[in-house]
Amino acid sequence: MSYRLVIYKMIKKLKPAASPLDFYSLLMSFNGLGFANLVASHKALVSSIVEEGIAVTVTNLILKRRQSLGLPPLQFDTADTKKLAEATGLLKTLERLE
Amino acid sequence: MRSYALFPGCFISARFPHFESSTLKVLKELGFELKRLKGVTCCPEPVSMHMLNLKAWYTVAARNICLAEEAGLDILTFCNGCNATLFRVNQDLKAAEGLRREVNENLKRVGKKFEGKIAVKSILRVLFEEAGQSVIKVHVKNPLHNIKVAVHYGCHIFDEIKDFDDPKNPKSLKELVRVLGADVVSYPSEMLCCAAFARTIDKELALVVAEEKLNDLVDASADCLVVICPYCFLQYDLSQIILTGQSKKTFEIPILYYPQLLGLAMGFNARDMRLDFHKVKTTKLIQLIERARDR
Repeated sequence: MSYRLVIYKMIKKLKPAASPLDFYSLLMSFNGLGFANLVASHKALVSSIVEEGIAVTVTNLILKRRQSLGLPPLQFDTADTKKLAEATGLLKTLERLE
Repeated sequence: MRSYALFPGCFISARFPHFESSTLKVLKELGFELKRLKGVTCCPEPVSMHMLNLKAWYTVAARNICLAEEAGLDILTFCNGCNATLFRVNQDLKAAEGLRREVNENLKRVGKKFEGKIAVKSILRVLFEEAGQSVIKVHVKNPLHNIKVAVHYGCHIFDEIKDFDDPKNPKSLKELVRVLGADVVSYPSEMLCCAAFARTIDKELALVVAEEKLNDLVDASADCLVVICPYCFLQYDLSQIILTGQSKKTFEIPILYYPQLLGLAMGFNARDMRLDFHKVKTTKLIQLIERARDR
């Protein structure tokens, strides 16, 4: 059993009903052990979806590759996504994780 | 064959576009028509947004489904992750009136309304159920005789898979490989998660889990591993390079996205399927396939 699993089980015992967000500040104290990276990486991915409409960074290589494969350029919505992020409280969630 | 609204997903579109191009070639040959939806976003990814804000996850997914409803077409997903999100959201919103009302209230802001009129299907399901073995067999020009293929379903497909296969002992992907003339090899860690999710938090854990399956594939003498998820593909294709670089062991098991293997059996060549974009070389596999063809 890795120490990450041990720490996670300890955290669950301390605060069993907590949401992932409530764990965040506690997890940040374990920064450097790699555990806090879990929430940080989720936040980065979701922020990318809200800002760019896509979870993945688009590189010039990929854009050229798509063109060479005869595929259309990438187009993802951002306007509607931002509105929905606001309407559902997701923007506030992301701000809390700053 | 039917028409579908295409949902390749952002991971395939923006990381592995050759999966998109090769699958489109294969589906066209099989007689499917695909329509691109304008204004799509990430599905959204089935773990992160789901964890941070469930309401947002349902709503963003519902918006994507609305685009297909407006086109009057069922959605065809290329990625297990997209399937996990869109299939589940579609099912839940159809079943739960309160949730649907809540989501539609938010969707009003963008002029959309979820009606529950369409289905969401994975590439695995569409090829297994709709194309079926009899149709695929007719299109096989290069039977993959004596090629030993191992399969990996991945995890996120298992919500939908219970609708068309046995989740405890799935056969669909194996049947789709057998119809190409290949031999399907079994191995102990067949149902093991690829652990791609662990790559961002514990690289060592992710490698250890990948190595377990790769070792089993070597023991099973698999000529290749077939996957239906781009994240699983990334995990197994990249892990072999990392493990070989760490001088732990040399792995050379080509990883193919199923439509690529199907394409090779249908007569497309390695260049058509863009196997040159894979990190683990497929040269030996292609030689085996050519030998099988020339017999």
